[in-house]
Formats: sequence, structure tokens, C-alpha cells
Amino acid sequence: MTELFDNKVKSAWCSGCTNFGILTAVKRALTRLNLLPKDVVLVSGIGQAAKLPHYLNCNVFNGLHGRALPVATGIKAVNTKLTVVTVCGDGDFYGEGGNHFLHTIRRNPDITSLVHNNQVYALTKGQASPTTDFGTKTRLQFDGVKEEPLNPLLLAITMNCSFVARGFAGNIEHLTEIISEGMRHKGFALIDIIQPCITFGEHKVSWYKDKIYYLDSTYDPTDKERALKKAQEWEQKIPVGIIYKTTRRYIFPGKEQNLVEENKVPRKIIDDLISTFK
Amino acid sequence: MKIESILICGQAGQGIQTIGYLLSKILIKHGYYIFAWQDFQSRIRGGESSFRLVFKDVPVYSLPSKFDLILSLDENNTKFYSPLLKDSGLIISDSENFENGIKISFEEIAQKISGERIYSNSAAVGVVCGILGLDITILEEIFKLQFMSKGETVVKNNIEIAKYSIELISQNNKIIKIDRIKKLSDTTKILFTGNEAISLGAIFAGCKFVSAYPMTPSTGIITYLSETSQKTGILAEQSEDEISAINMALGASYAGVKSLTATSGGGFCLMVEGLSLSAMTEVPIVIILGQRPGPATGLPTRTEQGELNFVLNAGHGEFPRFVFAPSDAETAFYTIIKAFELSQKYRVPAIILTDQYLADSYWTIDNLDIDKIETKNYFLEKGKFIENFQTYKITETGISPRLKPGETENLVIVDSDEHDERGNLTEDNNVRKLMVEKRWKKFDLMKQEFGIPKICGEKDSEIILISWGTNKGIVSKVSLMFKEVGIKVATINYTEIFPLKISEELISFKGKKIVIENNFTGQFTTLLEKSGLKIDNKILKYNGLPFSEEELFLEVKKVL
Repeated sequence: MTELFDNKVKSAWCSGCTNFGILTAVKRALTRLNLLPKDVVLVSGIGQAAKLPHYLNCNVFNGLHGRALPVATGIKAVNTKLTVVTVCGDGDFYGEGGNHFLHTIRRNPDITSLVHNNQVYALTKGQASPTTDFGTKTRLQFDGVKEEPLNPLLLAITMNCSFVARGFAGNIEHLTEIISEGMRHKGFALIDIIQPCITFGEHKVSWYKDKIYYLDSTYDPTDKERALKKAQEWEQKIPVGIIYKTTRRYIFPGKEQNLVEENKVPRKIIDDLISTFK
Repeated sequence: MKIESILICGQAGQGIQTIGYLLSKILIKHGYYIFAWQDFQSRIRGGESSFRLVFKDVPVYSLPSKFDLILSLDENNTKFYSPLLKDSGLIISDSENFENGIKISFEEIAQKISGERIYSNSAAVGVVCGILGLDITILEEIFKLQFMSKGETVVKNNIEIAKYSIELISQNNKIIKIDRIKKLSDTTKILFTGNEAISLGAIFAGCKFVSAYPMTPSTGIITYLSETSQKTGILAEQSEDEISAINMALGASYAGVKSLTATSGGGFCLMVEGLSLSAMTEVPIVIILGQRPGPATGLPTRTEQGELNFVLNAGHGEFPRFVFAPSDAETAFYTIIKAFELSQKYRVPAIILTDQYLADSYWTIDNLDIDKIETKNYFLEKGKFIENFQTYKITETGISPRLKPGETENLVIVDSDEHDERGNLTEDNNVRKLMVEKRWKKFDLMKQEFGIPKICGEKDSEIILISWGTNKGIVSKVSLMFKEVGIKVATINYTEIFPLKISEELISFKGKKIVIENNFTGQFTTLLEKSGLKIDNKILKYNGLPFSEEELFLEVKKVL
């Protein structure tokens, strides 16, 4: 079903890692949208999540920690034909890349961002991340995390991010649907994915499963007031689905362009420019 | 008395740049070459700033220590800059009366003729034109071009005020002894700043994407490329920070377009991880670093050559790179074209060091010779599927064939991790070794790309003045000054800095070797010595200002 996107690169993830669920959902979403591997670029930073692009068949830019968004923006800016998706963890995207997150929401390029949110720095063996719950004890934060966790969805909605959703790595079919919707959306789509870390995570998969509920058709994601409230639910119940959606001008409008194909500025234009200095 | 140098001074926001620019254009139309450096402070209004203009019948690239004419727009500036007036010079100010000065209030003239103070700059231009006896029809022509977009009334008022000012100054007997400027020829020379020249070069090179965060003295580059983008099709994006700037540019370059970023030392600090990324992913990029005095914020609007060591060593890990330092606006135009070519050819980063002296100064050249420049396409043929394509295929030269993602069924995989030939991350130590060697294999060929600069002057000269980048002009001028007093001084200038090439001719030069640099430690001297050249002396200046002619002449004299 996802053969076009399957490859044989050996994974560096733990056996049983919930990232595998996300990988399957990404491949299914790309297949569902009838995309070809050549039309897709997966851009990532650094971390276990950021290795995902290597495990499927498509174009890949695996860049620096925190810097997936500017790279993705540069790619999309010059070739709007490509489907550009970033794949990062919570530390990569919200911590190291926090500034780019804010400004990409403002810029609103047509990019889909998947954030594997496991609330922990797993690859560096278990430190607190920007989304770790207050009070969580780690070896480094031995007496508990003292910062309030970042609520990325709430932050994104306050900035009028044009597509804000939460997925769950434990429900591949639902996640596939959310990712497909994010890719169909014209503009910047943030998909924060609950991805329980089975090695360093504070909570087990079942802890999340018990709290999660799925937004149904009675929920209107274009209602911003309601979305702001929804994004604040966490302690008792965790909503999963498309939380907020709006239509915004996305960057490089009217420039369905492929600068890649244009080689040179015509000689006449160069001569005209030079003549302005004469 | 002959006037060849003019210093226009005033507060930030008073319009000295407009006055200087208009005078420059008028003088060029009379057949002269001008050079003008701008000295200003990091502020929006007030303070002391100057526009220092020299004009000659031959190309000019440097400034004297003292000026024939000073035109001041405010009292504080008159005090501040009057020590830079030659003993025989003339000072025009609207405040204090100097013995060798003329008191004129430009604002009063503007007010009187048009009822509006905003025209006072045209009064100032008129006064200088009157003093030099410049052709009024040329002034009219330049004013029309300059003010056309603001409507006919504005053009008319400006011309009227300038004409009135010419009349007014012509009646002053203090200008009788001043030589009238003759029109030399009908010319269409080019007048542009270093930033404009390098931007034009980027356009010619086929650059299609620029991302930058505003930083003095390089802001003018993205500004020009943005202003002209509707004609050129370049996409200019102001990024949220310099980290984003370089990463965006690398994204665009990966997608297949020539990409550029421009900054200064502080911004380049933030870009350094991205520089290393360019090297590891073998995604080419051109970076312009406009030098200004550091460390940290330093003197934001002044000049220095302090970032050579930085760019030679910037970036974690070991990797090859190109470093250029154009000497003037014309070289800057050609340099960036070469930087793009070589960066594309070898898939490596290329860094161009400019400085405030180059970036903000106005330079005059006869024309740009663009017919002979060749730019090549370093991508594989479009639309053709390549069997077993690999982004990092190990080849004899170390250069792997390049494709644009999406153009063929082939996939383009790049990685900041160590990777295999396909581009997938690896921790295999054997592959690591091969990849390190692959990246460095390119360096052997890169070394052959630069030309060897020639010695100017006679081989049996007593000394040779060695410079890099923008000190070329001043050094040539000083050698001429020595020639006039019967001392033979040779010169050599480097614009292609790394990988550095030193000629036999220079090694075997018998006279004293003196390096001229705008920094404290003699960074280029160190590079030369590392490359095996013995240096006798270095003359260094690091107060944030460029060398002036008499100053450098005296410094060189001391070490003769």
C-alpha cells in the first residue's frame, strides 16, 4: 500500500518505538495524496524523530538541530511544486528552533510540520524538554522541572497559525488523516504528535491513551475562541484532532513558481540595471 | 587654487549623502572620476557625519588627510571637522565665520526662494557648483533625474534654488582665486557603491535567492536585490535572524538555485554552524561578510579588516572553503560572479569579505565588461533519470554530480550527519574516512582556481607594499607619492585570499616587504608567513577609520 515510499535503510530507533507509527502514517498520507517520492522533500533537524526522513523513499534534507523550518522555507520559496514537510522532535522544534517556529507562523509558508512530542530529550538520555510537565524529575532536573511547559498549540493559535492539530502516534489511521489534511492545507500546518517515549518517557502509552479523546464532527475548528479553550485542555483530558484552522495569505502568493528552472536574468535587464548607475 | 577634495558634513538626517551624491553625479558628467567615502555614526539623527569626496581626471580610490573645501551644515560639525581643512582650503558653513570661510545659511536660501527648508540641500549643491564653476545645464539634467519621481514642481524648485545659490556665491570675492572646473568629456561612467556593485554581480551570476537579517554595512545588498526583484525575479527574504538566513539560503540552494546571504561579523557568528552545514551537505552558498570593527558590537558603522582569521577558521569540523576580498566596487562585481561559479563547481561555501570602506563608498568606473564572463551550469542534465544516482558519489575529483530535487525520479538526499554515498546517515568508520577524504580531495583542485597577483612597479624597488582587499587603492596612491620624491615603491594586492597563492616573483623580491592592514594583529601577515613568505614590517590601523594618503605615506617613510 505504501510501496513507493518504502525503503530498506536500517532504523536507529528502539525496538517498539512509537516513531514507527508516525513513519507508517507519513507514508500512508503521502500515498493517499497520490504524491511521488520525487515530489516530496522531508526536512528535519536532529534527534531520533529527525531521522525519520531517512526511513522512507523521498528527497531528504536532514539539517541542523533546530533549523528545519528555515531550510524548508528556502526550498518551498524557490520551488512551490515540491511538497515540503518538516519532521522534528519537541526539543528540536520548540527549544532550539523556537524562534523559527514563531516566525514561520507569521510567514505562513505552505509547509507541514510534524512535531514528535514525547516531552523529553531522549537521544541525550532523558533531560527535560520545553514540553515536559512541571515538577517532572529527571537525572539532570533531579528536584523537578521548575519551568512551566510550553503549550505549542495554544501559542500557535494565539498567533493565528493557519492549521493547528494534535495527533497521536498510537492511532495510525487517525494520524494519517490529520497529516493528509495538514498537507492539503495551503499554508503553515503545525501537527503536534503525542509520541510516548518507551525508554525515557515519564508516562506510558496507556497513560496517554486513557486521557485522549478525539474531536468529532460537532467540533468546529474555525471557531478561534473555542480552539483557544480546547488547546488548554491537558490535565484531565487531551483532545486530539484538528484544533484550529483558518484561511490566511500564505507567503510567496501568486508566485506558484519554480525559480529552479530559470537560469539567468536576461541581458537586457542587466543592461537596464547598469544604466541606472550611469 | 585647485579644488579636488570636498568634505560635506552635518548631522545624521540632514542630507549630506544626497548633497554628496548629486555633486558626484554632476562631476562625473563633467568627465571626472570620483571616489567618496562616508563616515557616519550609529544613530538616526544628530551627531557628526561626513561625505568625503575626491575627483580627478584619472580613476581615484583613496582619500587625502585634509580637504580643499569643507561644506558644513551645522555648527557642531563645523567645529568637529574644521581640523580636516587644508591651510589653503575654503570652508563654507552657515554658522561661524572663518578667516578662510564663507558664511552661508542654506536653509535661509531655501526659505527665501521656495518658502520651504527642505530644499536647503539643493542650495548647498548650488553653492559648490558656483564655487567650482560647474555647468548649470548638467546640474539641471542631474536634478531632473533625481527629483523626477517627486513631480515637476519639486524639480523646478530645486533647480531654481540651486541657480540662485550659484549666483549668490559667484559674487563672493573669496572664490575668485579658485580654478574653474572644465568639462573634460561627454561620458557615461558608472557611479555605484560597493554594495550595489556586488549586488549587480550577484544578479549577473544568476543568483535567485537571498535571505539576510539587516546588519551594517551589508544591509544595502538585500535592499538593492529586493528593490530590483520585480525585474530580476530574485526572491529576497528578510529572515528573523542570521541563523535562519543561512539555513534558508541553503534550503534554496539544495532546491537548485544559486543562493546568497550577507551580514557582518556578529551575524556571521550566528551563521557559523550553517557554514559547517554547507560543507558537510556539500550544498553551495555564497556569504558576504561586510567587516566592521569588533569584537562584539564594536563600531557598527566604521571599517576594519578584522575578520580574516575568523572566516579562515570558522565552523566546527574540517572542510575546504574559498575566501575572497575584493579591492573596490569593480572587483566586487567580478569577484562575486567567480565566487558563485567556484562554489557551485566544488559544492563548497565561498565567503566574500568586504568592509564598510568598500560597501558604503561611491566608486566610479568606465564600464563593466560583461560580455566575456562565462557562467556555467553545474547540474546534471534536466529530466534524465540517472541509474544509481548518489548525492555523494565518490569520484576521482571528490566532486559528485548534482541534481535538483523533483526534476527527475532520482532522489536528492543530503545529511548533516556523516553519510554514505546515497546521503543516508551512517556511523560506519570506514565510510567516514572515505567521506572526509572525498571532501578534501576537492581542495587540491580548488587551489588551482585562483590567479597569482602580479607585482606592480619595478622589481628592483626598495620596498613592496603588500595589501589585501580594500587597501589596494591607498597603497597604489602612496607608491605614486613616493615616485614623485624619487623612491621606487612596488605594490601587490590580494583579492583571492584562500587557498592563498604566493608567486615566485614575490618570494624572490629583494626589497623590504611591508604589509598594510586595517587590524591590530596583522592577520594577513600571519597567513603570508604561514605560507612561507618572510615579512619585514607591517603597518596596521585599527581605530575604525581607513588610511588616508598622507598618513600612510608617513607611516611607510618611517620604516624605509
